[in-house]
Amino acid sequence: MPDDIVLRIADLRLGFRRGRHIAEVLHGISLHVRRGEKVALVGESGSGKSVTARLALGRLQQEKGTIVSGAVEVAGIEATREPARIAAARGRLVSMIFQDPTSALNPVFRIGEVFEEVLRAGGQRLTRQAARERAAKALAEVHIPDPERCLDSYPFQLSGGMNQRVMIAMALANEPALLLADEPGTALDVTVQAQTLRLMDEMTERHGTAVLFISHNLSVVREFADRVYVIYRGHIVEHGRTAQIFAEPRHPYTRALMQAAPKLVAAGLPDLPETSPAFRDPLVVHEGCGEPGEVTA
Amino acid sequence: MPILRLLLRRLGVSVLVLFGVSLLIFCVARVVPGDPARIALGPNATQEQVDALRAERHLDEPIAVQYLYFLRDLAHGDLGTSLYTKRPVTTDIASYLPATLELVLVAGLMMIVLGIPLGILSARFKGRWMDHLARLLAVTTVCTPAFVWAVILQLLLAYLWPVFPLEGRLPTDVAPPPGITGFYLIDSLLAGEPRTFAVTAYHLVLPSLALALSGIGQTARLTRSSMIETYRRPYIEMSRAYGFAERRIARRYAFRPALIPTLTILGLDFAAMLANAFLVERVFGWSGLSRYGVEVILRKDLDAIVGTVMVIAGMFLLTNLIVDVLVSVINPRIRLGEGRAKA
Amino acid sequence: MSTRPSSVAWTEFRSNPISLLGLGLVILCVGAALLADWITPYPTHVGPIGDFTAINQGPSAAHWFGTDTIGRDVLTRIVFGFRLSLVMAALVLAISMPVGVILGLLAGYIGGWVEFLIMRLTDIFLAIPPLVLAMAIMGFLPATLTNAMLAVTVMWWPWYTRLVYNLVRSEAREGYVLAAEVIGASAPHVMFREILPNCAPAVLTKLTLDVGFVVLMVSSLSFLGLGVQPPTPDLGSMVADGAKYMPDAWWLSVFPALAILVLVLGFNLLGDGLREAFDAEV
Repeated sequence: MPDDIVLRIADLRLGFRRGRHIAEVLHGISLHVRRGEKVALVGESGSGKSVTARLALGRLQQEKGTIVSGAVEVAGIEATREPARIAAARGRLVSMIFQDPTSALNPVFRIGEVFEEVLRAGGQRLTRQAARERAAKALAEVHIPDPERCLDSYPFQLSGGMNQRVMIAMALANEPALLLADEPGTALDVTVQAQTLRLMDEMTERHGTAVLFISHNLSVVREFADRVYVIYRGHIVEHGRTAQIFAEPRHPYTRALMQAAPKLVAAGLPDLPETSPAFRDPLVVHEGCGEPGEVTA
Repeated sequence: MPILRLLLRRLGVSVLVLFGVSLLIFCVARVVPGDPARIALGPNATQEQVDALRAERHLDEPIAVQYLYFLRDLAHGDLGTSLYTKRPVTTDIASYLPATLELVLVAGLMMIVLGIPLGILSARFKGRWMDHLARLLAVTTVCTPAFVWAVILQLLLAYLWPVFPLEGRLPTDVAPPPGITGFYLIDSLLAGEPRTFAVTAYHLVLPSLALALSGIGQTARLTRSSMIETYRRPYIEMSRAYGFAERRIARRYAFRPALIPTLTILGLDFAAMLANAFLVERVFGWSGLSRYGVEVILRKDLDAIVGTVMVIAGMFLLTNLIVDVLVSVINPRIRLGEGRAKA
Repeated sequence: MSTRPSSVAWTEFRSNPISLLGLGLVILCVGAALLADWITPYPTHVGPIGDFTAINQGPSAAHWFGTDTIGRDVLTRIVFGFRLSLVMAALVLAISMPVGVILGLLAGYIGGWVEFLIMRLTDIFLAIPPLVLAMAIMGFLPATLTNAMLAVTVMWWPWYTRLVYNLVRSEAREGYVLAAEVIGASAPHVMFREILPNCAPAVLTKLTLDVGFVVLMVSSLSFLGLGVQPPTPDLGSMVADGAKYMPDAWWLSVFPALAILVLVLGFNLLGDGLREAFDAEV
């Protein structure tokens, strides 16, 4: 396996056991993210995007009643079979940005306190003073005007956009190889969301961080991603470079998604396509985009 | 200083409520059918005696005037005179209150020290035997009146298996420590009498446990649901995604927000203890406010009843005030006000 | 507030063994209370007269829970004690619940000075521990069964007022309330036909829990000698009287104490089950 791959998911299946029934939500998906690459995973809610991110963090596997098969490798660590190693890697090798930054920040702690914990979890042995300086520097990097004051604030005292910047700074503070971005900024208004995306782009570019960007909105993904996976009800239905997919969407579901996306981003959530039997069509892989280790088309 | 402003506002509200309580109790005391003087003196008193008492207590004047008299005395810290002990009510209460407060405070401490960890363990092992046991214990203790616990504990641990003393604050052969605060635990330490301290603590075990049990159950139950609820919050998912150690999350990042609802309820539980102390004191022959309260109620000792209720309501409001302050210390949203200060 | 529809709630309720246990205990207690005249071994022992040939006997086949100082069967008196406790709880709640609910609706929906008056009054009542307030009221009244009930009723309504008030405050923001107002429904219609049904699960849950707590309160009063007077069989006074004969005649207070536990526990588990089933905030 080429070692420039930071995330490799192969034939991943996920089921939830409820009583005697097993509900399968991922039906054998495969995807990969290379070092420094930005990859989008696009699909409607309930398609299995967010559980994929939680599997990559090794979090979902530990929960009762989940059945996982296939491979999830983060920077060479098997997230299912090596729970201790993936736990140690969280915050260090792999990190995450959440949908609603304000609710993802602990309401009863100051930004500075949480930031210090983030740095400590990243394995950095710093004095309190040094940690604070590091945190302030990281906040300045994401264009927060008064980092010292921000560190002394509680999340509810800051705007949503400001919290999102804090979140980005925290996510990248330990220089992870992979950043999982779960619909970043969807909870914010559109202009702030656009700023957030630009900031995330700038920051990951600078740090050389690979990103798995999870979104329900194809047009948001367009500016940001190098490659796109389209996921529909637990199946990857189309995979290609961003330009390829937007120039020539081949899968019926992708085409439906694209039509549903509003031309201006102003409307917030696009209407999702109605369901159709054609959405069950087999996976379409664009030229030169095969999964590593398998025969490419 | 928002926290000071908050404190002052709550204090103001408490004083107003206490004022309301006085009005309520006063109304209940004077509006109830029957002549309070006659009730107090009993059917065998002569009409002259009753009239004399009516005049002495201003009972022959309109209710509103009576209330003004009452307020005037209250402003001077005078709650009237007990018909039964013939002493000022404040003096009586001051001599009985410390025993009750000592009992209630020790029980409150037990409630916190045992209830919160039990709730955390229960949440940690949710759905396993430890959790079921803790929940069963919690619901059983909540449902059982304090006097039932008192009777059962006394039977088991003082009669059948006599590990603990049967009743009282001290054995007859031990003299109470010199009264400075009235709290034997504190007084004995101040007087440098470790043996008295130990004996006092020993006598406190059963009554305070009987009093604390339902609070322990309630606290454990609430802490459990609050911890479980907190663990579902996105910020805990964030803490895990960022690799915070599970122990740090349990002890700090989940614990602190989860404590807020528990703390709020502690005030109510403490109030319940003030009342239940009446029951427990009776079983354990505790010479506290209960003995006094029940005595004056049975003797229809008006001023003493009103005074006792006022003092208990005051302590209850004070407890809630303290709880409010504690909650605002861990909840910055209250401490700093809801307003947003853009950084 | 989001409560579940009752069909879902029932499925949820049925799958919880603890709730079913609560239901079982409640049925047991209520059934025993209803049938007390027929199922108790010595129904004549309700009054002041017992069997002088069998005084202070420990538990035996003839007297499962023993006999008291004048030879009355403790089991019989406990079952009749259930009846008394349940009747008292029912009467107390039958008055305090509707009063509290209506005041809560008025305060929450009308607002203004009505709200101020009602809610401040509620605050005052809730500032005194319930047992102490009930005791104080008993202090001015002769200690009889009716007066004990009266005292508990007087201090019980504020809890319903506060509950319903909070519910109304959150319900009033819901779309259906606005819709009713927009089409010109009268205030009583909105309060009683639109909002009240949506408060029902929470009120019902609290009602179930409260049966247990009223029993607790009344028996506490009796325990202090401020409630039911002998020879009426009451669980609280049985515990108090029995405690005088500890530990030799332990059955005199232990069995009534356990009976209170069973009764209150039953209603508590049932109420908790309902709360979880309806997902209601109480």
